[in-house]
Amino acid sequence: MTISNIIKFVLAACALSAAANASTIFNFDGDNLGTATTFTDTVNGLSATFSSAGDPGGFVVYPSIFDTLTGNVLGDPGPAGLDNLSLDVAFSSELSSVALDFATSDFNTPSPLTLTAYQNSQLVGSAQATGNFINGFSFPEGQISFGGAAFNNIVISSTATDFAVDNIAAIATPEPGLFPLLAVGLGAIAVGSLRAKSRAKAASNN
Amino acid sequence: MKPFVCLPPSAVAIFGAALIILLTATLTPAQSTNSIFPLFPATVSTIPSNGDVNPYGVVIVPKTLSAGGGLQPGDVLVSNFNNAQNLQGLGTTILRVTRSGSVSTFFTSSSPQTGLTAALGVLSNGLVLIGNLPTADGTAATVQPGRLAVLDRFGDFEGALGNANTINGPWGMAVDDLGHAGSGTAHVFVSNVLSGVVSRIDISYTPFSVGATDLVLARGFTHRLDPAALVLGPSGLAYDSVHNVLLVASSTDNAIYEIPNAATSNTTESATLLFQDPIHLHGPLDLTILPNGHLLVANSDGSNADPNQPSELVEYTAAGSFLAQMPIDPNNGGAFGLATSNIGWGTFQMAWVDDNANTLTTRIAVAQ
Repeated sequence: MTISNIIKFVLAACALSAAANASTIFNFDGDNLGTATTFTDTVNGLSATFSSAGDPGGFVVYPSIFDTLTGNVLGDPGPAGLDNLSLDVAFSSELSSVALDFATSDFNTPSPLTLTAYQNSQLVGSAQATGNFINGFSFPEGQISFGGAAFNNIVISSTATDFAVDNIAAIATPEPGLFPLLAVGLGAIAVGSLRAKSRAKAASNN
Repeated sequence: MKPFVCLPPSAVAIFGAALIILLTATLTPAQSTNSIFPLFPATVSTIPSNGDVNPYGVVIVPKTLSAGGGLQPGDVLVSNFNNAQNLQGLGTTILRVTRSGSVSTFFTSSSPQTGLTAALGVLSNGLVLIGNLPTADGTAATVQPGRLAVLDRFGDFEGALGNANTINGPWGMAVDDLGHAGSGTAHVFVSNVLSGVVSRIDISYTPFSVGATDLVLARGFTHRLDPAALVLGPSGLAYDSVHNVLLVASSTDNAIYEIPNAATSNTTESATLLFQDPIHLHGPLDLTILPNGHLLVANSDGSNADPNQPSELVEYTAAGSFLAQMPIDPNNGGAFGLATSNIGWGTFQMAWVDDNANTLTTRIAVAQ
């Protein structure tokens, strides 16, 4: 294998790795208005199942009445008519990070939104964020993100009566098979480099 | 070259059909076939076939109502206090107004359960609670303690709650219902205009059983008989779940009181004055909390009446600062029962009765 082929090989592996780490966005724009939990959306092969303790109908897809949340959003109360619900999102693959836009139904002091991540049922960690009022819009909006150890489930909750989410950006952990591939590529580069140095040394000795 | 995988014709056909269904579903999403019509009439008469008048209580059936026949989410119930001769404390009917505006008699009581009051509520399992304060002849001289009756979602009488200490002239009600899908618990708050007591009844229910306990939550509210208004005292109630506080509208002194630890206390609490407003409060009878925390009060004009401010619905901030008011009738004595139901994100359904015109009006409003 020539050096140029090795470089091509490694670049291809890196591209694959980058593709695996690109974020997948769940924005509910492809869902029919009125779609209520429990339901599953699949984007780029990654599935997210949205559910709540108030199902059927705890949360519902409806048009945005917000600024940073656009198109369709997912929020409560849904057809079940329940407030103060938590939203559970189960992903079909492990994630390394997630970020999303949210709004809370506060008229005065914005309530914090909490995102708790689990690997199966094992707590991985949590994050909390509070939105801000935006001129021309009625409710506080914000962003929240979480990253770290792998997780495949998040629970979103707030002390606000209701909340809505949109643009859930999920980044899957790299495929395990890519790491050996990268290692092989890097090893090949190292070997090639050593051989080149060895040839150069031999040539200079001659 | 790798060979193609050959599938049996049946598998190809199934796969093809599935693909067509998938593409069809993708290209033409399922469309709702539910029409918005007919719209709920803005105002309907509350006079039933037996001629009862003087609508008092109003409640909007909660969205959390479990599936079943009879009452449906969004229905509005109205209780009548006077009979066809306009004698107070002798009305016997609860009307049901459906979301399409259809009006029917939901319940007709028999003596001595007459004089149905604004102590009216619906739980998420469909149970309807209704208080009454009967008279023998429509005068304050013959008022009786009444009781708190329980009806099922079809309007059939199921029993009564409370005892002489906790139910004595049930006049107003607030419900904090934590139930869902036919099971749960509810805190039912009742104001008693003949004793000055506010009670709490804790109800646990499943699709198969109902259990209840009661206690005196607060006492000492001023109350008195009145030749015109019949009775005055603790009236409208509203529960603030964020602060676990019960608000009490007092028609004798035109004030709003608050009771702390309302849903959790196991003892009698002391009520404190939130605010008093002799300018804008005129015998406040009903009370509700809007999605933004503001208070909405219905003036009965049973005390402190002002002909220049007749039948007002009055809006206050959560702290009790006057914001605005709206008359719902050109004459005094029209505003009584008032109810709101949160739709979400500040939008709410609002229903009120006009005691002079014997009508129910509903509106969708947005809290700012």
